[in-house]
Amino acid sequence: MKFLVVMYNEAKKQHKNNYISYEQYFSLLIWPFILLCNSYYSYRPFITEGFMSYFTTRELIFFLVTGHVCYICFWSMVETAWDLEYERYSGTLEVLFLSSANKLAVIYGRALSAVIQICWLYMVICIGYFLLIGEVNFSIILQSLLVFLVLCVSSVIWGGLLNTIFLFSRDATFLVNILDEPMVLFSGVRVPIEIMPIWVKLISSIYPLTHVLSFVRTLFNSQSNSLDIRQLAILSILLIMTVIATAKLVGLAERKNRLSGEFNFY
Amino acid sequence: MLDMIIGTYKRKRKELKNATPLTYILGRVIRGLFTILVSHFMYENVFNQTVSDSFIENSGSLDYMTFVVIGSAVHVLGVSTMMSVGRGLISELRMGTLEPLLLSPKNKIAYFLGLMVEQVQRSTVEFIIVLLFGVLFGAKLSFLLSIKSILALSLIIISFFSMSVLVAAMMIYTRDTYVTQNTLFIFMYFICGISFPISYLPLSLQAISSVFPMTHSINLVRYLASGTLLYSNWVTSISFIVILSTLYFMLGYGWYRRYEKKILENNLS
Amino acid sequence: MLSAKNITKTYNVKNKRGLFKNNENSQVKALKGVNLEVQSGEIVGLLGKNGAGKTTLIKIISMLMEPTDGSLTIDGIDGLRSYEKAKSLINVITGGERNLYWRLNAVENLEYFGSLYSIPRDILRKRIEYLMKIFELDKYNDLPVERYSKGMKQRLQIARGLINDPKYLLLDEPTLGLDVDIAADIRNYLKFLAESEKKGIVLTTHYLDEAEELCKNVSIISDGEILESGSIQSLKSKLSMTPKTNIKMTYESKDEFLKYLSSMNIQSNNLNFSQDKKTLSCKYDTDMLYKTNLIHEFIKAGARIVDIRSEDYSLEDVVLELLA
Repeated sequence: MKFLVVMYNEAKKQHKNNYISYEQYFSLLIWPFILLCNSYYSYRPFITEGFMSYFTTRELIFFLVTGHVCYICFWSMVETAWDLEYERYSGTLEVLFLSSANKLAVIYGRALSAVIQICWLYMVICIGYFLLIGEVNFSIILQSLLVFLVLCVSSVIWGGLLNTIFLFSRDATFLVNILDEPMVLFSGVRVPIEIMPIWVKLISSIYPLTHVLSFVRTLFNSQSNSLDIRQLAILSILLIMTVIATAKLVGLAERKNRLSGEFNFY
Repeated sequence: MLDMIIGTYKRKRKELKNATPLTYILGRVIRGLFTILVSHFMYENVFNQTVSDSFIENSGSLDYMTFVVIGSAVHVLGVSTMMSVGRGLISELRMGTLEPLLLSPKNKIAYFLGLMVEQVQRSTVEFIIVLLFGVLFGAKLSFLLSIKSILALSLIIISFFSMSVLVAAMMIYTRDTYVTQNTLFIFMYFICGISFPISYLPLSLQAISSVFPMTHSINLVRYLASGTLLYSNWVTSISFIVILSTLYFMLGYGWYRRYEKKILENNLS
Repeated sequence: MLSAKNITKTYNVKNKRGLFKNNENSQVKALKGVNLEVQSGEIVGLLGKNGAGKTTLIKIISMLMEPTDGSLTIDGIDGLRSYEKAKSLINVITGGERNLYWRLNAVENLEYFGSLYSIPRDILRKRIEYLMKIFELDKYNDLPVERYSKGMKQRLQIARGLINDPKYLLLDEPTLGLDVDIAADIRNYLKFLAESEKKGIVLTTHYLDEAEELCKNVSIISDGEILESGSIQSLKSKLSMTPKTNIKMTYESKDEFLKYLSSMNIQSNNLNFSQDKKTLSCKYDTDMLYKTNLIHEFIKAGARIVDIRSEDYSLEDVVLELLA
């Protein structure tokens, strides 16, 4: 219970402190849309007379929309991680570690604050989707809610890992770049993983987003439209492993900072 | 003025080397590299090196990888400059060092130039690394080893500097980097023809793309690469770069100067 | 009781010569076997120059930093092994404008920091109301902290430090740069916390009159070592800096005067006779003066007391003497 209370309060504080203007909320819709358009147009050099070797145009749009919506949810976690740098030099990171609060709860609370962005974006996408297909039934709503739950849990756990990396050092941005930038490629956001070389597939399997995307695409695919339990199980195992790794890393990061006294070095 | 440029350059360099030495080098390079990788996998694995006729026509007969690598490399150069110089003032504000800077009698253009000189040093390394990576994936970039290309790149850097002064004024006025970074830079990434010809975009978006120096910079480098030096295209690109740079610099610096007194008021109260 | 024993802290410092050049590593001993004890209801001063090790010691006691060697117990809890348990018993208040969220207002800051200690909501709400009132911040709750004056931010810092009702408070320069009246209010409040609420307080400050007013005991630290510690009076005694009394007298006959003193076995070597041979001055330990009734003997010897003044050494004198 205490864990959840700390998590909730951290999310509340993060949200109040960081999301201060309507322009920010507006930009949360704009830039994912722009990224999506960019990805679509990146395929245009290969489109010949409406035919492509791998996708039809409709399949491509479905592929890219699902890829980008899920990617944006994971990407929004990066912002919360970057914010730790600011907390370090403003001295509030030190105060946090002064307290007896569960640090893992704080980390996940920070990631949870970005979920509000996700809610907003997801809601708009869903409304757009319902308007596009022209029908809303219980099954579609249930599917949408399930996907939202899977997205939130996965991205919060991923966000926890990114936040933990920033606990180690103020010079952690490059580590986040190493983890985050390749995610676009290795998770199948823009290019299908199925036709990639084996080494790419191996790397892609460690990203939770890969499995989230696979699950979401199978569920919403008009041809399959099925619940991929196997993918969900793999994702669950991966997320549990990520949580365990994050818990260990939080302890290590705290130990490292206590030895060096670098909670507030800037 | 020179002493302020040198002072700002030295300070920024030491700051980054001491505080974030790894991110200092690796930061944006990784982004550029993965843009190339994504394009490479699309080209090789998804489409078996088959491009459409419209692409061949609109790319000046450049092969796909050369086309994309040029776009990515110039984009890395541009965003690095704009981020570094553009965020200069807002970073000083957050660190609490803006007041001494504003209170000094020195011309603030020197401050921006100092940041730019420091950034160019880093951007050159990032640019070269992205290009080398591109060569590994089959891009043909030997054209860059010429005086013409060096001159063109110098002009391009000046244009990015001009735009970054406007970005700096925008960021210090809004006291925020989030909206500018996420919206403006991503919009530029889409609209400036980095990974596809601009001619694919609707006419309205093509018109908007022409107001960004990055669009013309990428065009210029691609014209140098393709060897098809159509006089009107080359001159048009350079003309646009010069006019837009002047405009953005005047706009940005003018906006900053008008707002400078307000920053002082807000800070000292 | 808060007890830090034999605390040692050694830093490994990398002297960077460049990105691709070899780094030279050196060791810096920030603390060398430091001992500190604080009882409930006691204010202990930790005094010393900048870079002496005060902040390092505060960070170790607050369990933000691990010592290289030594032990720390807080009310019987091992602060090095069970630090998460011990953290609820302490809090740190720093001077300056950091450690607060500038975009939030005072209540939002306090609510958040309170939530880190898992304080029940209703208790937290009441505590925040109380703290806002006593620190006179309730009038400014609509403003974000970035609009607060320095004094207001410092008061909020203290409120933040008290949010978990800690048994021990560590204050690092709490009145730095504050107005005289606000600093006085803060000092009075610290006295109240110690005397009425029985909180143990460790105070680091450069304002020695503040330390003299507040601290029962002081520890003077220099170059990572405690030079001396104890009550201010005991330190003065140790350094022979006990209160003195200056006496100025007039006399009729020097020979008669000295003859009488000699007959009473009173030493006359610290008597300073003036050039005009009419006045003399001397300085004696005040305590000794009263015990031996020396003034009465001077009068019997024929002297007339013209001026008598006592002087006491300040804490500043003690610190300067120790650091010299």
